[in-house]
Amino acid sequence: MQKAGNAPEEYEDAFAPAAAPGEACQEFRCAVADGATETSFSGLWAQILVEAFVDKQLKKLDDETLRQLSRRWRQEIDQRTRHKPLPWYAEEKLHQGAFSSLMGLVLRGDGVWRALCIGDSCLFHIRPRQAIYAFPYHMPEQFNNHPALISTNADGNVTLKARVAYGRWQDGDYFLLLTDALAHFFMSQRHFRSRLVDGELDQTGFEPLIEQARGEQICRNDDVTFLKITPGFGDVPGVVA
Amino acid sequence: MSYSAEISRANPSMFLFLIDRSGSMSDPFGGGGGKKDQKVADAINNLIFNLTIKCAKSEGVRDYYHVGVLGYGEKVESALGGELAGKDLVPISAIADAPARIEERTRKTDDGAGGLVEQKVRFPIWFSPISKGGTPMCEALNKARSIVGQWLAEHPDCFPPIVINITDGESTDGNPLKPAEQVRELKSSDGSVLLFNVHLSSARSSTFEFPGSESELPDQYAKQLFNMSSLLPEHIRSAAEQEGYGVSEQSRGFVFNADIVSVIRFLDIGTRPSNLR
Repeated sequence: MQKAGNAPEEYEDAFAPAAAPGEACQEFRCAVADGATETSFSGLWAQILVEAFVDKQLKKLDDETLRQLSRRWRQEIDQRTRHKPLPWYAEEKLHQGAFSSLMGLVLRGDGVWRALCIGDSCLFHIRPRQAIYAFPYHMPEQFNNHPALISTNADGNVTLKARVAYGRWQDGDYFLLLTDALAHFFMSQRHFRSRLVDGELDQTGFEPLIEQARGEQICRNDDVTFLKITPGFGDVPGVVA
Repeated sequence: MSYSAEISRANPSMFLFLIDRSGSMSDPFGGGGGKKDQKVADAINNLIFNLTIKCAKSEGVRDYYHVGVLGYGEKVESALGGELAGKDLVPISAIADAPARIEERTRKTDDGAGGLVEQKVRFPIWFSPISKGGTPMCEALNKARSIVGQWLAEHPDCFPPIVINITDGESTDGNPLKPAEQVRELKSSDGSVLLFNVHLSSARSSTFEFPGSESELPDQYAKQLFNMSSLLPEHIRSAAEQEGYGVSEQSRGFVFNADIVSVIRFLDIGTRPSNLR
């Protein structure tokens, strides 16, 4: 859901896969990403990152992988702009590169999960009526407008460090992947947390709730995205999402 | 009064630049490298360049800000030229699309493989050096008050307007302290107008950026401009601190023989990565 006041095509978050797999699988990968507002073509970069994570092209943050993905980003822009040269400011902005967060989750059929995170998108592992594990932030105060994010420019990534987490899941658990404004809202507003945790909230109920929360200024006006993943053991060992 | 209003196309904010074009600006700049009028032109071109880039997206420039440029010297009038001539305030996208000329420059940039490569970049020029007449700073500030007041009547809930005065400090139409105070007294529901001053002096002295006291400033003009300047709001102070500026609760929006372009970085229009340089 895009920031209030923006057009749908200005949405710069990204998620993958686009739909749940139709059958049991040994490993399930999913990701959300949040392209930075102050950089251009960042929605495209966010989309490239989540797809690369899900397609196993991005398993860790290494220079060569990021270089390849960055080349793909640039080729896509060249393709989009080949009939219309960019004005001076768009060209200059392009030199600064695009930036995006990434939260990727891998669920394995043997009950192990692991997550890779850069930036401020968050993961919540929920065991209903027992516990919520939050990663990488666990308090609303940890958010700010200046996270370190993955850049298309190699020199922007020199000091970047990915955070990783892992654990075990069991039947009945589920996972939420939220981009930052929503993760902050989730942590700071108990009633929203309850509705998401209790499974009451679907796509239809989500948008009016966010609009209301933005109006009351309890949810920051930003693009918001969530993935809810409910794994289960099937007839054969595997993950059903 | 929190300087926390969202800056968006639906709720834009404004910048008004006041540029000193008086005869004294043809004197040498104390920091070396040319005359003061050239330094003023560099400063305003650089500010507008950075503001435009901040608002640029893949589809064009988003009008998060409206911008005015008031020149003062022989006359006090809008310094915008071409099709924008005579206008007090225009959307930032209109300025982005109307530079007087675009120069080609080269810069070294990362080649993605650990080396550096020379790259040609286009650098727009909106303003050229001009120096003629007196320094009617009081009149310029009064005109600024009128432009900002009109904006606030139409945008009562905006992030407070920012007025940046670039000058050598020697007002010739009276003491500018009171007119400056009257500009700072204007407010939106989100806070008072911010008046920042850039002092480009012939004095050979250390540079100062966001000082907290006038005691070490080199002359009466610098001290006067310091006292005309707004205290830095907390979030700007905090952003300045993160970038390594030595600031305190008494720090004001004043720089001496230095640039103030960092202020544009300190404003939030959304997520700005900490590793973006």
